[in-house]
Amino acid sequence: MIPLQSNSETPFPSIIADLLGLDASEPAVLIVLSVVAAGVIATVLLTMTAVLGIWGKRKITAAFTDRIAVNRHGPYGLLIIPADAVRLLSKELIVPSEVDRPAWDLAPLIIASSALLGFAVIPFGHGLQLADPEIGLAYVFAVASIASLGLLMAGYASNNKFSFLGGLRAVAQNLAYEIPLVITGASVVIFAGSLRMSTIVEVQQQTLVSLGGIAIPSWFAFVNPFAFALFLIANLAEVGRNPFDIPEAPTEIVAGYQTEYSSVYFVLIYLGEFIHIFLGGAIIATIFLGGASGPVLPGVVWFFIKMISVYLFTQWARSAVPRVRVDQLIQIGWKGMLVLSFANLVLTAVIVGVAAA
Amino acid sequence: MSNPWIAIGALALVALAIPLSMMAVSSLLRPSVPEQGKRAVYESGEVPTGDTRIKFNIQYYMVALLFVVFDIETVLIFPWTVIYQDAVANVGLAEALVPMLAFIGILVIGLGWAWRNGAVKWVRSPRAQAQRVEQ
Amino acid sequence: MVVDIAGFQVADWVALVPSLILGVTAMLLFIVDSIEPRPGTSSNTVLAGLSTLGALGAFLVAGYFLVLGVGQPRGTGAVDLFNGQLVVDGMSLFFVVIVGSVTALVTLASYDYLEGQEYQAEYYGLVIMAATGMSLMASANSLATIFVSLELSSLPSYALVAFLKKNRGSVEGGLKYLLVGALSSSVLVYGISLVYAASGSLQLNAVADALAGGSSVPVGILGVGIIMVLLGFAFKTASVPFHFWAPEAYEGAPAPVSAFLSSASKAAGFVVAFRVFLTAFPEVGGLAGGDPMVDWVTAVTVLAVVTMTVGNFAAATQEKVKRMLAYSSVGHAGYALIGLAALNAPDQGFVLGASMMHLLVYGFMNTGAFLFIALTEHWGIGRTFQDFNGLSTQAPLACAAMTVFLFSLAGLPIGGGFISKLYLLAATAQAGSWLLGAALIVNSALSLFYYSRVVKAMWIEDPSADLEVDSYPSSLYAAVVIAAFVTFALLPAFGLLSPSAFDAASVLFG
Repeated sequence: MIPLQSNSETPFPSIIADLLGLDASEPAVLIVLSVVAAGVIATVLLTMTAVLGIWGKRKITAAFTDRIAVNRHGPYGLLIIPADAVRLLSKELIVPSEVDRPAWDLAPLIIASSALLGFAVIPFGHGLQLADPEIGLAYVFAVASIASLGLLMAGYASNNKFSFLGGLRAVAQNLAYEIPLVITGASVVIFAGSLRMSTIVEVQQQTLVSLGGIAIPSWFAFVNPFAFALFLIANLAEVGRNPFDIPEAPTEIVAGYQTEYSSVYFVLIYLGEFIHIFLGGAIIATIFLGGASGPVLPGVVWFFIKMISVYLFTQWARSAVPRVRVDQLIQIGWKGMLVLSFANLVLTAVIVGVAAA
Repeated sequence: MSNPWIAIGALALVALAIPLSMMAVSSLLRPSVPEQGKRAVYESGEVPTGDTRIKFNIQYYMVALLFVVFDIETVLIFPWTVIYQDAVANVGLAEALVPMLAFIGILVIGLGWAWRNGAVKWVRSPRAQAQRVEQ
Repeated sequence: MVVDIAGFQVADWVALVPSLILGVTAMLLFIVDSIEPRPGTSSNTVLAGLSTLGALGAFLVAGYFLVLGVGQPRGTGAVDLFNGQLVVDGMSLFFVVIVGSVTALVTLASYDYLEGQEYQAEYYGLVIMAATGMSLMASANSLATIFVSLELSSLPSYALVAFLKKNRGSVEGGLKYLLVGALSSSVLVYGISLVYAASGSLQLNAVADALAGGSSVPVGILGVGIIMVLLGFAFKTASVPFHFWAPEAYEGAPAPVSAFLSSASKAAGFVVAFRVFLTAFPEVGGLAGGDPMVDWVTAVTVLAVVTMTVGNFAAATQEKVKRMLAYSSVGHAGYALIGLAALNAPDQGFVLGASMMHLLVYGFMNTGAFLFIALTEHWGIGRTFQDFNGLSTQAPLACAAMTVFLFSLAGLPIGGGFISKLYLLAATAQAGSWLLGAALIVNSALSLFYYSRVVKAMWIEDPSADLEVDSYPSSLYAAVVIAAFVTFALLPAFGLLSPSAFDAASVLFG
């Protein structure tokens, strides 16, 4: 079996270096190879977003509402993907009057870039990981939350009341659920004893129990299902999907912070949101679902299966769960999730401590 | 050891280059037909009324203040979680756990106080209160 | 880690109990406010009682530790906590005594002052929180803990100054205080970062060790850093150049808060300044002999003379009593700075000890003076000198107490202020710094002029027709009388306390 981890701090660029017979300890070589590796990972993500965001989303929603959805262009309507890409990029960019120009232009850029940036430390398996710094988990939380800055900028700069409310709601929501998310993540770190993503995955490969000859690995979702549930809910709020989609809330405030965006800017925001959902899925797959591990199939495939499962979960929630009101959102966040996540942290610490002592 | 931040920096470069190149491609493709009517901000098809910089609920601000407190505290909890197991092994359960319990306890008192004084309860504006239809 | 306190082997953090008492009291106040039947209905009596008990507890335990010899050479020796981030020694306990006693007086007086006000629990919570910060400042032994504890004492103070939400003066003072505080905090942080850049360490002893090497220290960076740190502390002690918040903040704030800030907060600022400059930068300043690398002693001398002069001259021109007291408090910061400015003296422990004793006496007489103002505000008497005309016909006891405070502040032999100023003068004489000595004498003489204006108004002028005192709030009165008694008692009892100050001070000079 191919080992899941690589021993380098920059696994993926080093692997390319080995393939090409180059010396990765040379900074110049490393920089070039890193850009190549980053390009590969970004391309994979963009492809995924194109397939699942443009085509998959419509098919899934249609299935929930008993419709057919796109089926005219190519097999299963798949050619809608290039068609939509060209259509959206070639639309006129309408700049509303009195928008706050630099902020309005920067917001889509921030939303799209920050989501991509989080994938730098995600271990897709077999060394397909751009970098493996010691503080991987803290980094990924930090980068993922940059997006709320972009959302606020978009909402404030658009000079539109709906956008303004959407931006405020987005920030209030991200603030309320960021802390349960991070605290629950911290409770996982108590088990792993490290913030390094590869170590967190490695720790989960040990066998938890053997049931009838089948070894169940100690994925943290099995070890601490309560934390897993909390994290899953907080993640829904973090990526702004039902029941926590009040920043966009199409039936209340049109499209929230993105009301005034069109053409390529809309594409970027849309892209950023989807990559953000995948990032959430990747974090969950890494810290709760054992990363790139599983029987029969290669690890990378398993990783994508896990990641896309989380995506499907968000799509299910989008179609099946009603939206909460803003006051309920704040109450659930600050009175429910926060207290539960602290309880989870303390309980985990006590149990781990008693077991270790 | 190679520095992991070089690779992360490379991704940052790529993550900026892709959106920027999309913007560039789009600016080549898209038409530009400026017209006054298009530039009006969207208000459900009506003519926009008043200023956008409206008064908004003070609660957004209260929540942000609470967040600052708790966010800094998560930063302080993270290092503790990393060394927790080693600490239990080296200095025993009490010394590793009790200080953090005291720390979280102080926060919980603060949260309880804020909760009790309505910092996390969504306040309704007097006007909204007046328009409310009682069930 | 185990230390021996009064024959008991206890964990070393027990030495920090005075600060812990304050912290726990603050938590209890918040709990009391959270479990009240309806929001905003906590009993003023419970809150004031709890706060006063907590502050009194910190004061008593710190005093008891001082007597037992905790943290002092004759007892346990300085107790290092958390890898030297905090230290409990004679000086820290001495200042916890000051902070604890001032806080107790203030919370006692606040009981009457806050009668009928909103947000009482918040008020007491913030006061005790700030007191916790101040007591931690006395123990902080690393630039990081110093900054954190300094902010812990500053942030509640901003809110306290603006406590009277519907009073323009209070809000204006609070805002001004906040803005100057933010500016000076950033100056302080920047100075700390430069010191860190020059020495590679935040812990004060480690800074001193790193700087002792000499040749490889970047003097330019270090010099700018030290000056900026000094300016940061100037804010906390209300010294020039960051003194201009003081008049507005003290005048606008509720009078008990003014008392608290001008006494306890100032003392805490001084203890931090003492500890930083004497633990981290003695060699840099040439105190250990040899040429100074960065001559901060001269810088402090300049600051001290300017602060005294600015404070007293400005006070002499005021028309409002509270504002006059505010400026005089700036002047007293200048006197206390002598403790750092006159360190060229052969007996450095005496110089610093004199300054510490002055801060102790000042804690009582100045708190008392501001609490008297609180009393007049309670009676609804105006703020100018004329408004005090003939007050002694209505409230002789309070006016007698105020007279003791004012004359003691001026340095007349009616209270402890006389001896502490005498000691400060002796310190300047020892150092041969005639400039400082002359400034001290001239300014004290000037201060006698404006202090006696109040006394003259109270005792000699005829009362105006509508002057009427209708109530005698017991706790406010009690606080004023206690402060007056202690101020007066410190005249004969000065010698009982001064040895502990001199011992605590001389330890810092190894």
